[in-house]
Amino acid sequence: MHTPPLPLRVLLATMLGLLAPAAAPAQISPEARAVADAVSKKLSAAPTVAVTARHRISPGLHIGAAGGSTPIELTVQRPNRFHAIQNAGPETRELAYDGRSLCLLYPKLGHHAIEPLRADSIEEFADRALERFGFRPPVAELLANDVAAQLFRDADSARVFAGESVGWTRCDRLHIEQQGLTGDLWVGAKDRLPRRFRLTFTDQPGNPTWDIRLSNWKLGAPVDEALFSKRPPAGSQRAPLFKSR
Amino acid sequence: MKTRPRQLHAFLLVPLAAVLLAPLVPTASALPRQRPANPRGVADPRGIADPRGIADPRGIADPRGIADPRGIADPRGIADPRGIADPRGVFDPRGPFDPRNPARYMYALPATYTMRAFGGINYYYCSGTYYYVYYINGQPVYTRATIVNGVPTVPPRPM
Repeated sequence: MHTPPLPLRVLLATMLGLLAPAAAPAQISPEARAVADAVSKKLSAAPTVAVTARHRISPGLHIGAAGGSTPIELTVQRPNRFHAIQNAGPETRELAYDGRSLCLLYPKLGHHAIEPLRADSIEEFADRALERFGFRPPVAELLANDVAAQLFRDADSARVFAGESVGWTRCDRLHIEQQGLTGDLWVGAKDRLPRRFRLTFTDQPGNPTWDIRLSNWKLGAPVDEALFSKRPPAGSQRAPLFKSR
Repeated sequence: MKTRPRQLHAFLLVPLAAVLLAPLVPTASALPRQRPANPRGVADPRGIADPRGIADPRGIADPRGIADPRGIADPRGIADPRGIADPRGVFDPRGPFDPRNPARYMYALPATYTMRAFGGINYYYCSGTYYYVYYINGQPVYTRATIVNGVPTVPPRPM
């Protein structure tokens, strides 16, 4: 088979590259950018953040690590410490991350997993947990140090619908679209705190949703630092932690 | 002579009243499913001929259908893995974790589990089967352990 000489191949590759359609820039409206930046500024300025998340998952949508529908208490200490606990009776589970190791605990079932995992920020922790162990910590996007960057990552478009409510709180709804997924984030019009986050899986039959209500925000409040390095009680069995093949 | 027209008038009042009151009489549209007390509502796909009745606890999404031989009092629920051909009956105390057909892995333990240690490793014992726990994608996966010389051993990861 005849192969063109190297300069010709380089020229051909360059021309083909010029002819190929460039990736379309994300259509993010200035209002959407402003809302996301306001949330980001508000949350990143707090050295500690605590919030309660209640979520509801459409039947048929399997999100393994989501667990049951009981509330999850989340606590973050900047830049890279994360704790979550879901009190669900015998199925009570806990996630503790101190920047160096990740510990998942089911204290009432007597087992846990612990693995070394280094990260310098909440977003890096979430990305590495997904890459190595196949899950993201709950609502890590909203607790990240740069919320706007997390929200608009892989986004095709974003816009804002003003004048909606979550409970008694007036909100702006930030609507973000990307391939196979849309996200709607309701942000308090006055305090700029997220109140509701709904993910719609548009590439799945029936467009199932994962709907998360956020309440009881505490910014900058003192937190128990021992939470982030929590370890299992004596007698708990260590289990291997994997990502599915 | 004066009473005759009055009697005729009174006689005609009966059909006239019947015609006027006819719209107020309940019509044939009041079929069983439209009754206000029927909690299933008109959108219930089971139809009015469904013999399970409105008190059927299985709900309209129950895939077992009205021909399910287990009957409406079956407490095992639609997630029961034993299938409708299971001949053991609804009051079988052995439950869905029957050792004759144990699940290869599961995401939660039944309430009746016990923990037993062999060689320093904890196993979860349910209805004659031992399970070993892995965490996969952040979720515990209880995986059936194989028994070697009467002792459970760590199974390969299921996924």
